[in-house]
Amino acid sequence: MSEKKPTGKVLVAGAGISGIKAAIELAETGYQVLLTDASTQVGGILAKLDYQFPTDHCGMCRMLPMVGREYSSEYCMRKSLYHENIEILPFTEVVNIEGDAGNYKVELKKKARYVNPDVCNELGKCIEACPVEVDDEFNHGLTKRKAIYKSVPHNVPQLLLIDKQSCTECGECVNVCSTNAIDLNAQDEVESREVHSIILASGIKLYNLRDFEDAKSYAVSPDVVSSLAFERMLSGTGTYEDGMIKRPSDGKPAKKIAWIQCMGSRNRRQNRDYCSSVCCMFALKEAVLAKEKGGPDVETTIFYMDMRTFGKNFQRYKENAVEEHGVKLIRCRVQEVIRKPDGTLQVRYFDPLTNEFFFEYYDLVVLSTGQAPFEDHKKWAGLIHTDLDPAGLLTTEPYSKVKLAGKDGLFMCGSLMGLTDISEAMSSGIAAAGEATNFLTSLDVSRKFGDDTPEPKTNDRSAPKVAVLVCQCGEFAGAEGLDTKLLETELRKVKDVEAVHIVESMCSAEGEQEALEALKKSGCNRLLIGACQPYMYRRKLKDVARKAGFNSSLVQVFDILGVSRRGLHEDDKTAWTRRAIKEIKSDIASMKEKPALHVQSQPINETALVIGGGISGMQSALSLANRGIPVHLVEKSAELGGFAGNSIASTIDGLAPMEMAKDMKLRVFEHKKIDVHLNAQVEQTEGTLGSFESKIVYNGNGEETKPIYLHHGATIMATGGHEGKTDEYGYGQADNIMTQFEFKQGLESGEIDLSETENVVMIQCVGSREKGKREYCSRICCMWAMANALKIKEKNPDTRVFVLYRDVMTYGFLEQYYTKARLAGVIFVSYDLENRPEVEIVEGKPVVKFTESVLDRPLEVSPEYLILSTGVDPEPSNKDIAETFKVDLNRDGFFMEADSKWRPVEFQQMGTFLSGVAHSPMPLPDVIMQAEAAAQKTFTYLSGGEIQTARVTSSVKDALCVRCQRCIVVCPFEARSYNEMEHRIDIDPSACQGCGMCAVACRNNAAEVSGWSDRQLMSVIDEKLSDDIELSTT
Amino acid sequence: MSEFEPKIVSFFCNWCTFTAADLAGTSRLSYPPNIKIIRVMCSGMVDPKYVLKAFLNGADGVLIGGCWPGDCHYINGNLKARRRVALLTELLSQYGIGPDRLWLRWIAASEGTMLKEVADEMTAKLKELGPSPLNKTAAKVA
Ligand code: FES
Repeated sequence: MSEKKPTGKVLVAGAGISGIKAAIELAETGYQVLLTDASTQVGGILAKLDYQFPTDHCGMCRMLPMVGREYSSEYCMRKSLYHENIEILPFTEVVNIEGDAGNYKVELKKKARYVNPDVCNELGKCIEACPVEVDDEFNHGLTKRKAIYKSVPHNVPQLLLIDKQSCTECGECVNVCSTNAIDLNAQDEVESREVHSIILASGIKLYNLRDFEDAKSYAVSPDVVSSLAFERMLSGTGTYEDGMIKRPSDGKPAKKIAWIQCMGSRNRRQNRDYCSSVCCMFALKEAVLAKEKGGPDVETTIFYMDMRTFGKNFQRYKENAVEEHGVKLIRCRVQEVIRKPDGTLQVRYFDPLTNEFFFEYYDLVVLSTGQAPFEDHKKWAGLIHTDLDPAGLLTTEPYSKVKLAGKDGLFMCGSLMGLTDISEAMSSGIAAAGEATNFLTSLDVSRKFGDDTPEPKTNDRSAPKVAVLVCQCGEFAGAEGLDTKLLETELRKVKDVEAVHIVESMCSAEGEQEALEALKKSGCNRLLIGACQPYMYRRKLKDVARKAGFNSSLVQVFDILGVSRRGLHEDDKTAWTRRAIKEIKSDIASMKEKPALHVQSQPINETALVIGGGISGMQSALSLANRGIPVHLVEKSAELGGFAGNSIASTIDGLAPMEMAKDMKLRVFEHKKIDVHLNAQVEQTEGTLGSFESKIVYNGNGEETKPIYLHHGATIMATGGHEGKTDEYGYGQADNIMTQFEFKQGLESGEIDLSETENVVMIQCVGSREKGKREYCSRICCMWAMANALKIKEKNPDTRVFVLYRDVMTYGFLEQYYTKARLAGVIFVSYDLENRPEVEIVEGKPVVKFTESVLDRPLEVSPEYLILSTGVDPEPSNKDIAETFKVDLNRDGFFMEADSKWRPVEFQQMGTFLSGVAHSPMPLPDVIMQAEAAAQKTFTYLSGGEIQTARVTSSVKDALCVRCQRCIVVCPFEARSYNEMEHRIDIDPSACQGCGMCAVACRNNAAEVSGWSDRQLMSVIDEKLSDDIELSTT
Repeated sequence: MSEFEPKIVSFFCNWCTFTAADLAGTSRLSYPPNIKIIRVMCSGMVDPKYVLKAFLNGADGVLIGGCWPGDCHYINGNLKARRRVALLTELLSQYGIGPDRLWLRWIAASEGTMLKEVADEMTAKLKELGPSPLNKTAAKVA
């Protein structure tokens, strides 16, 4: 990497979670990112959700970097996000894109906020003064806000803005603003930037009840709300302070709540022939939370058509909601909602099982609103000069969900692909970053790590000398009652404080210069800066400190305007000064005990090991090898390709897995960077991220039978799966009872002739979604059934095809195939576990008995073919691999990722990744997306030849350690291990996250986290408990 | 004589509860100054010695705030904290420090209101209980 090359630059347009993830991944890889969002804040829809399925918790912070912690924020992402390589531009729209691959010129419109965030002190006097009140969009109109307001409750800094639409220009806010931050005449600014690549991540718009005609018969009262609005009712920062769930109309507690599914979605007549994929889980989660928050007497009912619990562990979540929480599910079509005079809502529905109308009363009705048609696609298509497909969507390259068709260097991720859940948003964000990285490595650009200003050399052993720098924020602090004189006098009295300097304004160039001079002269080695909005200025302040010769770890910024005033009563004038002195003193106390901490770089082996030679494994291998990473590809069978690549010729969405695999195999075998090991298995492995050693054994009759040892820096598990087996419904007892796959093969080979066929019966969910069997949805069987059913109808339109199903899982755009099948005359009949179809073998032929639901009459059919959807099983070899690599499997035998939402392609074990069906059953494009994501994560860690470990990591004092190994057990990141040879505890500093669990568990004070030593904490406790200084005379 | 003002040493985890405290601040919710916040990375980082030290040094109460179970940034630090607090409570009672003086609360990042409520509640409770027995003896000796 020569110095001259420019750093690769990527625009990520859209700062919802998938955009953020893509940005973080690229930043970690060393590229510069411009992250824009049209709205006022980052976080997208997630900023509104306190709890997310399928864990009912948050955990968003788990998407932050784990290895390069040093360069990013380490606090709750609801506050804000920071990364040295990411420039965040909220409230900014992309208005023009020119140029082509590798050389894009984008025009960004920065919308006017009318409040200058650089000088605003966030005290909110203006908000109090503003006389205008309007509905608050953040809470979906359930609360009010002013015309000048903060758009999100938790952001730090607060970033106020004025909504010019409702502003009356009365100027009250301008009058009360003491820092002249408000400019009512501010204008939008257009700025042009150059980037090499662009990732579109602008998400989707949700269906809005007011915008659509078909919502009219439901949204009849303020007590009928959208699911996102309900989310705000549940939130801690939401609409009701006491967290109670109430009726918006009169504030009475809502005890009976109903959800109506598919609002706006699955509506062919309205040209919305798609399923919004996440609403079923969303409703289930909301119903569970409503019960948890509202108490056991809250009743929750979900009216649905199909419960689409197709994701990993979703089925179990549903069962738990019904069995443990008593959430009621009613399969029906809701006709209308009627508001009764007392405000209760009557829900009228048609029960297809009994053919009768029913009605039930509720206090609150939540409409599960899905995605609205794709306006953003139109906008982007215009900007990048491309055509949309007939459904109005941006087209992608075949097999790829993220690569835009015919547009090198342009990608998309997240809900722009169609509404996604969190795990998919994460995978797609990482995959898009991966594709962008792939593209950037083909250009002549470089990557950048670390800071511009080098870390100064410091003498770590010298006695602590503390300098304190306090910014007065112009006139402001004084005017508001902070007595900086007193602050100065008091701080000078503190032991080891050698210099106290009050700067008028650090934000100004003179202020910065003044601070720099003063610091250089001070001769101190520790620095405490009291300034406003440290989150915003962290980088700048750190740079000043570095220039003055301070080690970054010994510089602390203290939020003097914010934190020190937090929670104080406004009328107590001296309280602020007292608090500030106290807080600064305790920071000093901690800092004096703190040693200088350094970033260490750790050499790593660049080679990757991929286990599994199916499509997923080959995709990861090729992707890495193309970027110059040497790969060992280990496959247990004699052939590459896996289940899909060797036996599936076509899929319903027009893909040809076998053909694709054939081409991939060629490329894999030809690639100089890929070593293929067939008939091989990993028998043993040892090591940590960057340096693993694995023993490969060969089991075939090939010549190469001696085991070999491979050295590699990371591992990807891509073990795949295969069609499940069954002995239900007479399988094995008659020739014409077969699985969907067997039938498909028969059709393709021509062995099955349908010309005389009168009846075909398909039974879905065989041995699936049932306790004690496959307890999950296999995701692809419904599509296979649709494909086979449509094929039958195509070959012989007179054949009657019955599909006996429990829930049709045609989520997303797959819905169109369901519609197609129904239009083609395929008969769909639902059954449930209590009332399942029966199969009898009469004279060697099956007879199927089931209840036809529309007319509610028993039917008996003797089909020429009985086809069973038997689902997908994980590879049995997963068990051994899991043991070898010390990773976990879930109850179903699939690998268990580090976090089901936020880290879908990683294991908790650093340097170990997973992708494809090894994770869970999924369609081919998702497999490829995950494979790409796993490759990207691997690339990020391996490609530098070394990794930088964080400053704050744990250590062990060998002399004190009694080798009890308790720290190994408690470490949640498996960063500690026992070194038998050396008889000591080893720590993997790249895995360690500095949580300090080991330090608490250690009985001998041998384990410690640098920067969080007992001594530091103890002196802080001392300081916090010391008496307040008396300032009563002032 | 002025009213007894308990000192409550509060260990808040960096990810959730500390954010809630920030949020309470920016939402202009005031909570009693008796709450003396010490930021730790995780509630699981709070060593029993810190709690003991706080009581020995004159704290009337100790509040540990962490993420809700399942939310801990470090997977399960909060659960370890819970186990530890259960043991500590027993230990403390042998020194006459009742269970009402050591609180462990889950407060998520968005629960600024809850933070204020807990702070108010604990301060009120400790005012009712009076100074820690360790402080009383200290006062007598002095
Ligand atoms: S990080 Fe909050 S309790 Fe562990």
